[in-house]
Amino acid sequence: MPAARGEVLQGTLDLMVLKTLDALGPLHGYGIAQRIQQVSEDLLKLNQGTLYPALLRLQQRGWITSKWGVSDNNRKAKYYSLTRSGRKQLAAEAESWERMAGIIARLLGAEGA
Amino acid sequence: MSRIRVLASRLLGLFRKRTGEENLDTELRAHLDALTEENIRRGMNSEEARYAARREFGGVEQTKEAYRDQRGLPFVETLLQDLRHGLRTLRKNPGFATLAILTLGLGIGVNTALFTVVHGVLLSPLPFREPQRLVSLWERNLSADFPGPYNVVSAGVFDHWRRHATSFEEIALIGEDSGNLSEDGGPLPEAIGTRFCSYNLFSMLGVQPIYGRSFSPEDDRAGAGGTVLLSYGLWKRRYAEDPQAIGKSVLLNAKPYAIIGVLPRWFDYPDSRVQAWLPVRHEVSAEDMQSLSNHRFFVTARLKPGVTLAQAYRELDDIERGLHERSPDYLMGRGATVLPLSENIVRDVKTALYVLMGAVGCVLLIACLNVANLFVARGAARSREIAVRAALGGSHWRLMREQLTESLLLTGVGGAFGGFFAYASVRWLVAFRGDLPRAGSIHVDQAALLFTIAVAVLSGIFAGLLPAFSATRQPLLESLKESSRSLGGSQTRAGLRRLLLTLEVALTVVLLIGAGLLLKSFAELHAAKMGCATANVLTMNLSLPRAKYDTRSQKAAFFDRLLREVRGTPGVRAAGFVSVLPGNGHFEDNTFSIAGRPPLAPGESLDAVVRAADPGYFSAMDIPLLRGRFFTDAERVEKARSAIISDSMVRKFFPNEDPLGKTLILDWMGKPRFEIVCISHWPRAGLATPRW
Repeated sequence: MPAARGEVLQGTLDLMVLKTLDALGPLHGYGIAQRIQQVSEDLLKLNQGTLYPALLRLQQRGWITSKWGVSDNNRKAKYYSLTRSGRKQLAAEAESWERMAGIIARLLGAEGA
Repeated sequence: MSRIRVLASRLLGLFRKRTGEENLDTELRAHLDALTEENIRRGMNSEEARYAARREFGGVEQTKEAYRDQRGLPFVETLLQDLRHGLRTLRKNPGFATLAILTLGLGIGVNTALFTVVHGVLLSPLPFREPQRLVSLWERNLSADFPGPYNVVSAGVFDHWRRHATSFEEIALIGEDSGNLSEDGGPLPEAIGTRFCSYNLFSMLGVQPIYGRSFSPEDDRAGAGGTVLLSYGLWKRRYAEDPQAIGKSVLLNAKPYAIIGVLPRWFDYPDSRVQAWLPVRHEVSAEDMQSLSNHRFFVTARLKPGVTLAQAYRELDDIERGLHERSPDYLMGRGATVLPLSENIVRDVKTALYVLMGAVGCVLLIACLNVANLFVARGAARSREIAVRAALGGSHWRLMREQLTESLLLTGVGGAFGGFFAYASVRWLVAFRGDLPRAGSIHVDQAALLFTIAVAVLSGIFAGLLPAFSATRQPLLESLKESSRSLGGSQTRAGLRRLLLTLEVALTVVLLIGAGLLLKSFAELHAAKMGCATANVLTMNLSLPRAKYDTRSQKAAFFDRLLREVRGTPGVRAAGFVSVLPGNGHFEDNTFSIAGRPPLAPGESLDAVVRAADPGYFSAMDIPLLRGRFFTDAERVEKARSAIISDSMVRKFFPNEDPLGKTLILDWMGKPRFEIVCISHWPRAGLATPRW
């Protein structure tokens, strides 16, 4: 029996998208969704559709750009890639996430002790 | 920075909607297809695979909706949607739309026009230097006949004020006159309205001539050479704006004057009909300049810095009272009035303008209520549609906003229409009503534009909100049931319509009563008998220049010849002369005494309006003779020793005796005596004034 699939935490989807693009380079929406699902080992309950408004939001902020291209199976697809300011944003967000995660972990560890 | 970027990209999103929509479609379809293929590879059949793909993806339409909200500006988009919807519904109902736009346009138009007038005439400061320190001075409470606070001032009293009052930095005199303007070899002579003033008037107001110079103390003396300042209008009309006209010599009443300057175009004090200014002491005899009882001047003054209106008022009042106590034999004020110049200029029109403002406010309110009422009526017809939309999830706010947008659309178009209407009517008013004080300062300007917009928006909200409340506040199910069952509106809606109608009728009644009273006054004025012939009567004014017609016999000879020639003209039945025409106002009055009566107590005097007429005047004007006889042709120049008095004068001064044969002694030069030979009805000085 697999563990219950967790909801995507508010605000973490942006971080996941940025990190995915950072790790794999230009990618289309389907690829991003697959990658997130893969990395989370299907523990995350992601409605893949919710990715698209998030992608638009990140574009509007100038963190990613998009370009039409052709996918592996010869389909027209929109490829997203990280911009320089997106990379900076990723670093900042990753750091603050780690800090927060550390705090939570310490808090939980202290509780357990 | 990034916020601006987001806004910019969202704004772009508004306009790239169609390509954006297609792209989104392609992108999402590609995603779904990829998911489906993946599932097929995992061994599902195509039906299952598509189904699973959709499940994994989530709602496609929801995604698109969320994407669209992220892409554009949802607020602007719904606004545009509402606008389109509003336009469509209005187009479907062109009669309703035209009617609403016309009534609103008219309402907004008259309000803007009147606001522009009130703003220019009443609210904007006078175009003079430090206008808040300028005041107007009057004599107050001359006698029982003239108890008012605003009586014209005599030059003697003015001189006394000038020498004794300490509240004023500067004090200036203005008098009314008219004259015949001509030049040797110039254009046709014309009669123009003139004013004389003390030399300091223009420097006191802070007004500089645009060409030439203003009056100097040397011009303002009895023996000085004649000088005249032209109004811009006269300069433009008669001298084609030629700066060479300055220094030219013209004839005013056959006497030579040098044009010394031209006043600015905007200068319309005391009103825009004044065409030329002359120095007062050059025009008015030294005797008149000292007279305490010859009331004919207007006085304007500038308060010293720091002196309040109340202080000036008290000082001047005391000075005037003191003077009156020391010289009780003269007919003069028992006090004085000080009034801000800005108030004084608009004294006659202020109340009327505010009343009019109220009336046009009522008109706009009626127009708004009308539109609101039409909306409610239409809402009743659409209640089912609205209920269905509400049932499908249309929010109250959204439905209300739609109604508001529609109503704002109407008032917006109406406001544009009203703006043009206001512009045209204000232009007309300024061009054709020169008698409105300060007409020159009325402009359709930014303030008027803002006012129009504000009024349009407010009336839009007002007209839209009332029915919007009623339309959306209904229990859903009820209106669904109701409108499927019956044709009549719901109770609340009927109640609202009744209320609107009541308000409308009430406002209309207010306006109607006002209009009715006005009409009644008009009818009464119309029915008032002038007391003389008014049909088929032509009148003309003329004045003889003293330089050419100095003696009474010279004048009499001219008048005689003129009258003979006029009477000889075909079609003329009768002709006559009088010093002031009936209906043309009060003009001349004089104090007098009655021979054989004991002298009056000091400070008391008898006063009556005086007119001079030739014997033919009475029969030409059908003035009825009550007793006695009219003048004869022999009674002229030196032999004019008889008087005709009015029946009201008989009642006032000879209540219990027969005035015929009594002698009046006028307080003119040489105290001439006139024997009363006739009693007649006198024509009125004006339609609204009582008979003398």
